[in-house]
Amino acid sequence: MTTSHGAPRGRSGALAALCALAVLGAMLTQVDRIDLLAPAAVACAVGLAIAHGSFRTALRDIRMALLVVAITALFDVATGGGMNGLRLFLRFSALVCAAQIVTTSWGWAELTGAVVTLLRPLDRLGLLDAERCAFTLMLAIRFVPVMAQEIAEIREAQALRGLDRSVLALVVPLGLRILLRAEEIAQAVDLRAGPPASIGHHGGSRPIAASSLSSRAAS
Amino acid sequence: MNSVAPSLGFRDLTLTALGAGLVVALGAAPPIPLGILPVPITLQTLGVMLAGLLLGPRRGATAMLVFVALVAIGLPVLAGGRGGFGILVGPTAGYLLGWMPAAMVVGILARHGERIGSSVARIACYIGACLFGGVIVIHACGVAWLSLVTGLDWGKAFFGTLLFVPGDVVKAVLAAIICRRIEIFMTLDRR
Repeated sequence: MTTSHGAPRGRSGALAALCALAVLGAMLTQVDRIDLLAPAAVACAVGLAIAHGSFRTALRDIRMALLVVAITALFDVATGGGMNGLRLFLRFSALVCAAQIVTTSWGWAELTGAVVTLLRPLDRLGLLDAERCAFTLMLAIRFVPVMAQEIAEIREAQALRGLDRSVLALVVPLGLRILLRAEEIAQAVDLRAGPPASIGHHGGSRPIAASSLSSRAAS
Repeated sequence: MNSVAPSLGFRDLTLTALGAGLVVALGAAPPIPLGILPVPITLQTLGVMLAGLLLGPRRGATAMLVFVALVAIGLPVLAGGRGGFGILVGPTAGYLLGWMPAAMVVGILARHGERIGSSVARIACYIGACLFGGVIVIHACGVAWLSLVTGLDWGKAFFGTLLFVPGDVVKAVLAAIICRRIEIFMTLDRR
């Protein structure tokens, strides 16, 4: 898992970094000159090495993304793209490194907070409910290890039946468990949240404090 | 807050979170690299199809949105333990972003299929839903993104994506069969 290194820099810092990343991305797509793209790529790579503390560990985190960029660039060159392949490589290498600096420098809690803050304008327009988005995200994070455990249990049971290589034998019980578990959790949350009139089971519209939802998700 | 769109209830939110978890879990299967191409074959697209089939269009698409958010905040939820903003700014991000409309399209088409009485016809309808949503929509998004952000010719980008189609067709059939088997045990509420 990618975690933050050093002291936490807070949600506002993560928000500013995300905005800066968006601006950098927009600028890089407008630049075609290799003499500008190359220093940008080097600067971002150096920045990532500094943010990570070590160039080797930084490279380990982004090597797959860089490989994807390199293969795409080579494909472009091989199919007659010429210098465009080099431009593509430099542009996306810079962007991938810059994006990784953001991921490395802030933890998932701060980035989640920043993403929810970015969703607030859509909330004000009535397009989505940012608090419920935060709740769902926390719930999903909470259930990643639980799902891994479920899979391990199902695999173990199916292996005893000689079905350890069957996708159907894994996914059918997994799907059933997910649907049943969702029902159980929803009932438990409803019970803890109070009477159904206050928070609708299928779409209550009363505002809910994000911290309250997040703590329920974490419990 | 006065939301125009009806908000999702706790059951919907839990299903959405667990739907994202299903895709994460399927990422535990090791990806199959395809030689020169930068996108490996993974079981996670099977999860996208299942999210649409089992949860319905709205919850399925929201589950995929949650999954993309998990990738963005740096959790290693993609096959091979990948994650972070770097994935979302790369040349193949379109395939990942296409999961949201894909789950929605699969869910919408599956809703039509649930009215069919014949089991074989219903499975055929689910396969069609997965092929259209889980294959055509994802590849269309992937090719469009690849072509737009890298300047690659549309034809070249499309040519590269064709290698994944046979695997995706197999996954579409699997997703339909899995969904039908689950329907034997419970009535699915697609919304």
